[in-house]
Amino acid sequence: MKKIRIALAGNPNVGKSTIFNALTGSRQHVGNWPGVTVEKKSGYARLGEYEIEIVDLPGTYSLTAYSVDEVVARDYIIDEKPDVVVHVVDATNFERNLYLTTQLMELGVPLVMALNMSDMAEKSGTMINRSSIKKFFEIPVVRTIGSKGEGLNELLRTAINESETSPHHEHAIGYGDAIERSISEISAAISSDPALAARYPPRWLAIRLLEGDGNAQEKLKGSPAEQKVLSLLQQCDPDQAEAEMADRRYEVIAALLPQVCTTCVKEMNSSDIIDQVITNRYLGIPIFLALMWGAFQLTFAVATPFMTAIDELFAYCAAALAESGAEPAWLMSLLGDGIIGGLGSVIIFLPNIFILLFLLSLLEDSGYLARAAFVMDRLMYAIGLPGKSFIPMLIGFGCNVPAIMATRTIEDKNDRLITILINPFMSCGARLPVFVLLAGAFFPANAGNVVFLLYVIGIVVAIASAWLFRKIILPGKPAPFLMEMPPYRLPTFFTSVRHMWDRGYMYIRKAGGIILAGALIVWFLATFPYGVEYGSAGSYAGMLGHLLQPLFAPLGFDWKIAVALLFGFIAKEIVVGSLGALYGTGEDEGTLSAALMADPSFGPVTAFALMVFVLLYMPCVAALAVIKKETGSWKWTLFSVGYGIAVAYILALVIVHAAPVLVGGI
Amino acid sequence: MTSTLKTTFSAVFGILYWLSGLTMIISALVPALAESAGQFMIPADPAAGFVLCVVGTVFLFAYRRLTAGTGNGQAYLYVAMGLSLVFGIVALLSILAVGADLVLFGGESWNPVQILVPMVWLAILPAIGLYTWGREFVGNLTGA
Repeated sequence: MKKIRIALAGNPNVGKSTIFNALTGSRQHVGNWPGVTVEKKSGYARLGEYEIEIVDLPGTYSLTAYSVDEVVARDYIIDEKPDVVVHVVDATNFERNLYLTTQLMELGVPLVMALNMSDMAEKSGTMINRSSIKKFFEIPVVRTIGSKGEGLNELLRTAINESETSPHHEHAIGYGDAIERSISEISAAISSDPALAARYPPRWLAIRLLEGDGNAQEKLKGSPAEQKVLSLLQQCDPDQAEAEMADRRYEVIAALLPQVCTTCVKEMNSSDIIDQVITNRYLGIPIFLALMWGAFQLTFAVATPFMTAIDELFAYCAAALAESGAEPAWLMSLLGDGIIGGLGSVIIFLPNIFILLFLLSLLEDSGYLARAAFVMDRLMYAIGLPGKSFIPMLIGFGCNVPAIMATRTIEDKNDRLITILINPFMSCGARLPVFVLLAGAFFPANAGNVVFLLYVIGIVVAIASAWLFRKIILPGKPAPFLMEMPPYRLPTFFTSVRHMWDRGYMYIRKAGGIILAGALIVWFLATFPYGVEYGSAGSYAGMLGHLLQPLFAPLGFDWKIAVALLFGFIAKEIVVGSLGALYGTGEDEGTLSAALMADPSFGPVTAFALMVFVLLYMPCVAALAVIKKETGSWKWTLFSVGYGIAVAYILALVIVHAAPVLVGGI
Repeated sequence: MTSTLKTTFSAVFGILYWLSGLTMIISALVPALAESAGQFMIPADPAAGFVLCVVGTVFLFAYRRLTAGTGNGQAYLYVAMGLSLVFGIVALLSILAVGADLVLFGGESWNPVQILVPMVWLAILPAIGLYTWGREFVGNLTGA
């Protein structure tokens, strides 16, 4: 029995695994690729006298080294040298798949194209000429429908034929005089080391090195050609070379596409036309900023009457309870100060959060958020993050919990980790009550500007942290922007409401669970030992505050603030409720503001430092749980807490000591 | 005929949006101008002024491309009219919400004339334009 080995390569979601399962049936083995947590699937099939080992490579859009999946796929092809690589192509998205085809061709491996989902493509009128593909690309093509098992025997037969055909040659794409000169020089230097040249196709390795591929540079280590190659590379700009070479590949695709698929060159539709304007290099960012202004304007303005209504309702309940004179007193205190006071200070912000989530849903459902990520990619790249990080950061303005979960769309592990770590600095809706209370009390004429400044500080700290993490902790380059743009759609009201509810429900659950529990803990600590004045220094909360106070003394925070900040770890919303409890004012914002202003230890500088501290000091317990779940690491979870506290402490300290000097003791 | 009308429409609204936007931005910096502009229902609001300038710029891009006959001038016009409509609705809802809060919970009176800020009245004709010229274009977008 003869044996051959086939590797299945292709973009994600092209039906590769369906073909793999159909070919191997139950003869599969699932494990991990060496050294990484990427799933490796291999299996066996038989055809005539051939025993065929089939390896399902991770789905990738290209063979660069921006993600672990890409490195695993290409290293397998280069190092393990399978007899044939079957490139599974989604026939309904033929053009997009061809970029990977050009890169596989450059590797010079025996290649077969499986034109999968052909039935769906034909149904939609896409006419792909297989003989033309063979003629122009010099690759045998097989029509397959993986879900029905059609064409799979022919695919195996073609792969066997291809494995026995020799020799195979590299398909070279011309990259222009300047780049070709560099490729030739570097290829010659690589060829001077026969062992290196035997292992890696010199032209392919030269191209990868010119594109600034760090993983390719690793392959040079220890080679006698290393110094020569590195000195040649120093004369080139990898970013420019990478962009130019990608352009050339797309030019080749654009030139060949009409010859192999007469219906693949589509006329521009409304969606494409809108994109010309929305992603215009001069208008894209201003339009995005304007739309964000619209979203925040609606969030805060439209919520106003709803917030007032909720405020009045809770005030009415608290007043009715107080006037009832019911007994026992502790139970009335629990209901009034604990539950109504604690929950009231949280529920009041539901309108803000739901309106913001609804508007983000509208933007997402319309297809705009994907464009926003594209528009912001250049700016994000400058701080070491991919454009895709932008959407989770935006959602972070609503709530960090769904925002951290939204990082799942970022493929690269380091990009994702950095995005998760900086997300808590995006000022979520829970911090707003603290800002509104303190800015309204201590900066009445400029409350809006102060709150806006806090949002800006959060963004600046997030950007600076991302830059720092990328430079020091997780070095490397962000992955290039590769995202399928959904067509623009007219969002429907009910779909957006459903999406809003799905995300907002998480906040309600948090209010009903964690925040209610937090409010009860605050009430308990402020009420007991039974008989002491509510929230006084003699209460457990007071004792705890005095214990913590020395830590916060350099920031000018007294024991009440120390307790409020400690409880704020449960949920940031609890900070206001805690201050209300400790100042003995309950949840009424006006009374609490007056009490804070009457406190001699509280001034505008302390208030601003406190707002900055609340903005940055640590994620709430719900966000922390999600960070642990998404990173799968206690180390990064604790790092997030420690880093946030350190940044908050340092900034608050700077504000407390620098502000009086700068503005003459406001 | 329609082409000339679209070109003129783009130019006029580009200028109107820019003038209103600039007035709102400068009013925030110069109190004397804020008083005069206030009489014409133009508030001193730099952020809203910036938004008006952005919409105005898209209209002017449309004008330039329609005049030159290059690129896709109509696309810029449709998007400008769409943005105009979106921000008109944003301003209208914001003003109505603040008014409702005053009337329902503040016990104060509220004058409906307050809705006549530039972001609202400037959106009226573009909304009609979008309905007249861009109906087919918008209709080609599928529902979510």
